[in-house]
Amino acid sequence: MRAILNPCLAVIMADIRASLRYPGDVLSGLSYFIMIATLVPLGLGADQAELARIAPVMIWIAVMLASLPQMDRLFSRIAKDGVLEQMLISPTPMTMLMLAKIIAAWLIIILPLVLAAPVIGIMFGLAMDMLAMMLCFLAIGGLCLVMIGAMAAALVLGSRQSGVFTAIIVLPLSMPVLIFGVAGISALQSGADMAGHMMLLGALTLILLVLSPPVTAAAIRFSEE
Amino acid sequence: MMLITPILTHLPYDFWQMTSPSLHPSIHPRLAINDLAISRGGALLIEGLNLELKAGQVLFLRGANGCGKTTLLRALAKLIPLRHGQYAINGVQHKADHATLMRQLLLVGHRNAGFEHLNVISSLRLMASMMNIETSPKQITEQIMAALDKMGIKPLAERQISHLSAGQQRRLALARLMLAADMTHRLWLIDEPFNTLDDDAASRLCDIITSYCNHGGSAVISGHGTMPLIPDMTLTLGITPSGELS
Repeated sequence: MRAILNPCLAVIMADIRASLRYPGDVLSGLSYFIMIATLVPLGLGADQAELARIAPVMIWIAVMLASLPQMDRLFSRIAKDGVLEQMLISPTPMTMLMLAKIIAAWLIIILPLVLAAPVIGIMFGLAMDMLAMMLCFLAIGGLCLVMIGAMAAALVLGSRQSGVFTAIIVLPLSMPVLIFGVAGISALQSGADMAGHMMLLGALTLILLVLSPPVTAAAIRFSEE
Repeated sequence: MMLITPILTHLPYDFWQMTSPSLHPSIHPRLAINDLAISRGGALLIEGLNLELKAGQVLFLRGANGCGKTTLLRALAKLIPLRHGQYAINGVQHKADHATLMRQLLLVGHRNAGFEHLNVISSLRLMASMMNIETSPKQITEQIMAALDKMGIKPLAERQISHLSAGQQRRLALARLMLAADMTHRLWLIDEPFNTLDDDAASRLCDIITSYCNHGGSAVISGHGTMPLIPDMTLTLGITPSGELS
């Protein structure tokens, strides 16, 4: 057990440490997020009711667009310098190391966006008591996005136009996340029951949790062959 | 088709019999290759390779660019599927459990596996953890410092990987071997280690490999020309571009 847990923790710690030292990627994602969320109201005008209505869609799209460029870079750097090769020949199963990588990516890419979301929510006139629930949706949906992104990044590893391919693979797969996420927050706004949407999003997360790490590991093994 | 001349083989191995764990290493050769064939991109690179490497021996793979040295090394680390044949490290067949086989080897490939955005110590700590070297955090730091000292880059311990020169990064990759220097059952697979090294680093590496082999360890090393130093326990396998072995 320790032979699996310790290397996974080490992978997570290394990623966090690296991103603390070079926060550029995280900050650029964050600034995209804030930019999208501020520019749209400016363009739409100050109709408070209208803004509140489109807020859920806006926030979800901003999260997706802000995280996509970072997903694309998830493996390219460690593939180039050979860390990925060492992961493949580690006695620890590659699937578990990829799960660690996904958790690290969630902490680095999604968590800052989730933490910034309340500010945006207030700007869009969302009620305070809804914010906590919205954060839950974003956190869970964000995990889905990372797991889809990891699979896509691994599949396109080594291709020259990887950015384009990642987008092509990620966008259709993340449609359900967008649909359930937006529907959930909208239901929250209108006071309808949102438990169903949350459960569907949770089910999607569980399916991806089983699917994504092994698929990512297999794709990387192929690309390193 | 193939001719390998062992020049001198055995070294006293009472030391490693005390230290090396598991799997009756005294019964099995460090590396046994049986009728191995590897192809790459449809081209057959190596065919009909039979070989046995005993504890304390070094196998030197010599050949022109593109003849399959790296491919063979990577195939031994199970990164490339075999076309035919089998091999075993310490008696562990290549089809055996992934973790068990991976615990029998260490690979220093073309790429140095330095985590670009970390400093030297943090990067090596990650590597040690992935190599499943289980010691306390304090102990592993000591081990890392000792390894860096052996490769002559101890003063760079706090330096960012991306700020190191190519040769320094190569030294860092080779320092990884030293982290497991007391696990002499692990077969070292080293890809062209002498390429970017200066004379000082090359002689340090030779000392390290010699001492590893004196304690019963074994290594497979690729390169060009002749292997510097360590002549008296080296098997040389020449590979020609047409796949001939000599």
